Amino acid sequence: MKRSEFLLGLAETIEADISTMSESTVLRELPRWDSMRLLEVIAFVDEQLGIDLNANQVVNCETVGQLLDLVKDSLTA
Amino acid sequence: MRATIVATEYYLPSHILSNETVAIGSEDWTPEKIFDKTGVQQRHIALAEECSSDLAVLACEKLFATASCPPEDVDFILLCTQSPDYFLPTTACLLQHRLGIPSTAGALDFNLGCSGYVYGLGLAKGLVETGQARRILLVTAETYSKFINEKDRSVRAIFGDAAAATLVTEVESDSPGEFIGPFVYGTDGSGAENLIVPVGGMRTRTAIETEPVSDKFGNQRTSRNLFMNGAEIFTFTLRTVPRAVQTLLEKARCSLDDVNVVVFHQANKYMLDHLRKKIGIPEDKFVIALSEFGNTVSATIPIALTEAARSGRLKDGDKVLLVGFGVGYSWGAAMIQWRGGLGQS
Repeated sequence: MKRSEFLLGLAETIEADISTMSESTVLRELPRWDSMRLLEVIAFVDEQLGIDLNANQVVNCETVGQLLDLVKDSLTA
Repeated sequence: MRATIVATEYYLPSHILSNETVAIGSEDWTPEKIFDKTGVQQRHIALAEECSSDLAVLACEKLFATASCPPEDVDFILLCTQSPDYFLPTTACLLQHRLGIPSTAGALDFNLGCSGYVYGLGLAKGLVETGQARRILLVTAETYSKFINEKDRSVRAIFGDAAAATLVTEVESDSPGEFIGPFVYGTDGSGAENLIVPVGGMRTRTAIETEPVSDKFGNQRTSRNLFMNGAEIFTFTLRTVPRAVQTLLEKARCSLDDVNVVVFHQANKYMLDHLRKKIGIPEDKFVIALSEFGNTVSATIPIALTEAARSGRLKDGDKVLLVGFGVGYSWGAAMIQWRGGLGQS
């Protein structure tokens, strides 16, 4: 999956504005960033990339960039 | 002789916790959002004086009426609960007395959550097919609400209280094969801390702290309250449930095409939808019965079965695939052949 496609889908999932979302976007400051949202991110990554994310890794991500780091090996440029 | 499910019934406590009430004090979550994300519109909550045995008695009395089976005919009680009336005596013993079941009956509690109903069917089948008992009252009764902190939205929005009662009896039949089974079981205790009530059992009888602590999402709880790491549990289900379904289908020598109805433990709608798509189960075969009840732990599967039978979605002869998964971690999957018309109203 292309990195740009992934970012688009991710922005939708976490309700971030794709035009202003960047790697430094702080997850905690996004709307409804809570335990339900974690499920949605995990489901999104599972569905799009078939990756089994470790939930604690996701919970410890502060920024979009850190989330991206977890999956970047499965993304094409 | 073989074991079969004859009838199922359930009881919900009358007090209702609505999404409106759950949403109070939350800027982000509206009642609509709660329903949208969890699939739950309302949950029934036991009052302070209502315990698991009280819910169980009422579910069983409904079952006796539905199945036209008097309590005198029951010779074994299996009760699944993680919120028993007492550490001891066994809550199933209280049921025997309150329901007027003969003292020649066996009775025991078993402690499981979301996987409990499937394990209960396995135990009931074992008792019947080894000739140890003929009419099993399999009950699941749970009052998780008593563990939940009012300010912990993550679990308050999801869990509801209920009891369900199922009659499993021996039956003679000309048709080959089993009515209950095969089974797949699984356990992973490394997941223990992800769905836990830390204090109150023998490991730590009383809490040191008295004030609730806030987690990073603003949910508050003490160590006497239920804690659930939803994200970890989700990844557990993604790893485990598809494989359990696959293993069960192999054991049953059939494919999803041969299965008429699929009933998963009703954890939350989001998780169920994702699992359904991941496994490739057609929507019309997949039962969702959450909105009126919430996640009632070990009662979700029997409640879903009861509702599916009542609405005509479950028919005589249907092959039904059940999967329970969650706290423990524990999981169980079973195939059952639904035999309608024997006692179901």
